Amino acid sequence: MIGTIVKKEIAANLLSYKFFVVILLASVLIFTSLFVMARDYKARLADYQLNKPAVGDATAVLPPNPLSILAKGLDESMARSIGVNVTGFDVQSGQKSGNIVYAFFPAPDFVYIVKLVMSLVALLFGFDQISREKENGTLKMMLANSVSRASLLAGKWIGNYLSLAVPFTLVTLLGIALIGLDPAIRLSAGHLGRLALLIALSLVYIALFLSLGLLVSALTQRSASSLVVLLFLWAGLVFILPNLGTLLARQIVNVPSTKALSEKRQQIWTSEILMVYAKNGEWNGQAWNERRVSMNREFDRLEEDYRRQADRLVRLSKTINRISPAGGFIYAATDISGTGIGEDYRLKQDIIRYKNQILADMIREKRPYPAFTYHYRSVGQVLAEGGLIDVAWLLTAVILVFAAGASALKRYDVR
Amino acid sequence: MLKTIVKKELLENIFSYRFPLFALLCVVLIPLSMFVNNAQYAKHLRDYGEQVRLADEASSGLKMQDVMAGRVAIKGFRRPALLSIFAQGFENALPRYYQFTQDGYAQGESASGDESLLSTQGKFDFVFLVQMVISLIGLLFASDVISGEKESGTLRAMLSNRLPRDAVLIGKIGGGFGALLAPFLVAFVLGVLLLLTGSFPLFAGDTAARLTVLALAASVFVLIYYVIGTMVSTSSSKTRTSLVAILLIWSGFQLVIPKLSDMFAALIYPVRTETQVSLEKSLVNNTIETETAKELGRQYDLVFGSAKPGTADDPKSPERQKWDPLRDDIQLRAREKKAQQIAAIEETYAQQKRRQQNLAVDLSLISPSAAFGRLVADICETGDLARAKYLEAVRAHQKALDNALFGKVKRTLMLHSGGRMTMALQAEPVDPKNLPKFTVTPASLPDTFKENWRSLLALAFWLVAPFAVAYTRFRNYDVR
Repeated sequence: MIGTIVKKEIAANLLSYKFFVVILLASVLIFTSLFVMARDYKARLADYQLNKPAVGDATAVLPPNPLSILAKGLDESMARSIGVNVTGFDVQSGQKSGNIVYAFFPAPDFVYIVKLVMSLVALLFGFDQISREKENGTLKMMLANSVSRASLLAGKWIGNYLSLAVPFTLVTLLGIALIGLDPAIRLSAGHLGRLALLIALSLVYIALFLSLGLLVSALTQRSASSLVVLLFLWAGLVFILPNLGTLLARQIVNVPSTKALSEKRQQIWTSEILMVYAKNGEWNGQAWNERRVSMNREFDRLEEDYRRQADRLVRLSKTINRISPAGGFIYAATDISGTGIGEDYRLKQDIIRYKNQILADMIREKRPYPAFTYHYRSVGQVLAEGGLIDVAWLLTAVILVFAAGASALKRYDVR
Repeated sequence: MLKTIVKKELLENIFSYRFPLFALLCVVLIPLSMFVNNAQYAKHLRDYGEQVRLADEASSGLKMQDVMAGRVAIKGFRRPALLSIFAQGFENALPRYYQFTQDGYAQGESASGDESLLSTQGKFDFVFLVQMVISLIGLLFASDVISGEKESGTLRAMLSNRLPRDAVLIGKIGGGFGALLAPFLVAFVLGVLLLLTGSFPLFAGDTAARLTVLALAASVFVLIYYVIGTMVSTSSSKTRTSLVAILLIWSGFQLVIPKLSDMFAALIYPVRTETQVSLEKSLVNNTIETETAKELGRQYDLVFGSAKPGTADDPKSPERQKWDPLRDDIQLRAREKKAQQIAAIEETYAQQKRRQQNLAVDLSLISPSAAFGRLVADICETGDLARAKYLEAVRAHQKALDNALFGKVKRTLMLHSGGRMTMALQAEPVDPKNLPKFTVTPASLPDTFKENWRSLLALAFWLVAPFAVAYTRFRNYDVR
């Protein structure tokens, strides 16, 4: 019986104009997004090639991550060029694609399209599954036969999910294949594995909103009412809740500004250096080296104090934002792509280690300086360091919402 | 009769379940976004004050030896925009400062910097709420304005009386929009009152005028979407169909057109990145410096080649009398050549960017959301205009510093035959306390309107055209 209902739902979708319009919209958006972000990536890569440090330079800079085409996350911030010198860090501006306009409108990456548009599309598929059948009078006829409510819901869910998931996956894979043909965009086997995970995560996210659509449809008598309620819920879950965490966290955790601190530090250090140079005509010697080491330790301590508070803020913000599935989805997607908060934190730790190594080399007058290398976390590490929580929460939410929908349908008045 | 219809629509909306949901959303989110963004602004302002103080201290302790050795970099900081509380625009993307040296200016890191960790979920300001959330709700409220009445059979009953259709349409739009506008404006005023408790300088400069314009623009924007929703409702006989169409229109206006417009503009008029332009300028700089050094070295050898040792240090010697004006002439010509070539590079780049940007703006005006976003960002001094003014100020400041400081140091680098290199330094005294201060002159409100005439025209179009379509369609609407 479930199989029949599934086939019926798929056929009904394929014959409806809504299906084609909505799938066309999603396809246009996904292709556009991949194309636009691929151009952005290539422009940033070209900038990186121009700014790449020469051999022996003490500069930490990462090339842009090809997976930022799908999940931009913090890639631009992570790709800032950071020069290491006697005063510590000299942070340069990052690679620029020239598209500062993405500061104006959000970067139209794949993850943004899924978060906003695919969730809306899933709601559009689910909002009238029960209430429309009731309005048309077909629901009571269906249930007058030996069709259980549970199999009805399961059949509708599977049929609509397949109608969504299959075209979505095909369009996404086609888009990725097309951008993969570009010689400037090199996707390794590791990247492809992460892409597969990203698509799987997106499918879970879509499943959640489809389940939500079915739930609300099973709680209302009119499809127009269910759509209005769902759109309010969607605005809340996708826009409001994911940002509320950040707003609330900022009120609870007060982070001292690092900018004024680093300016002061730079000024003190520059004055010391100029004084020593003016006195000696050079800057080396045992006492000077000891001074440099102790100043470096002092700066690292200041930096650590700031970092601890900032991490508290970020952790609290993440905890609250994760209540919304959209929030959890963004964190998981960017972590899997290597452009998330966890990766950024790890990179900063590595840069601090690199700085200390360079300082030691400066004191020992060892040249040329070693190049900065960074290895992205493996998928296992990503999941172990918090990614699994977001994925598990999304899966749990799907199950809970589906169960709530089943419970609502059991009590639904079909007359 | 019109008043009766407006009153009826108003009351119907107020007593429906949608109104309290919407009112709650507005009253909670709008003041909250303003409050939190105000706290962020206050923090950035404190940072700015501290950084400017430190930079002033550093430059007042400037020594000419440091300038001569090329170890001086003066920073010019950009003051955070007060109205970024309402529209962040480019506020976090613009560089916090520019660094000025003898070799030109370079941008520092952007304001987002470390704070970018918290921006992974997107930004959340008043304009974002209006563009993304309230516009959608406006469309929703309007989706069943006509089709809902038809489905319930009341439209036929209404029009069977002596009710002109245009009065029905205008009354419905007036009443429905009124029900939307009231909680929206109340929330806005509450937000501003909340800001006033935190010493927000409402009456400083033209802040009050800008806020009034912002509230007006946002109200017109919500009306536009309400009218578009009404237009869709008059084009379909079922509310469900209107809702699907509305969602497609909203996605197109919010998500597709703003992105596509910039993409097409970049495809049609590709522009190099700032890094590439900066490198080109450095190349020109280095090439001219090397050529000048070689020329100076050659002339120096010609003048002093056969002279007694020490002649170059005697300002009264005939060789020095010949050398000084010759050197000054070569350096002047080199400076002029450098200024000309760099100005040409900058002008070409600026022209290309302007052309691309104008095309992007023109294309994006297809979306009322993009037109609204650009207009209010400029009103709040966080848009394209602010970016242009910042760059203008940077160029002017570099020129001023070249005249007041860097130009007082004459570095004569000479490359002699045989590869020998010598450098002579001459410096005039400079009082660091008299160095020019970096300031950015914001665009006035009239200038903002002048620059945004296209956005204003687009918004006017989007107000009138959907209404005209709705009016025409409703006159022919089958009410049976």
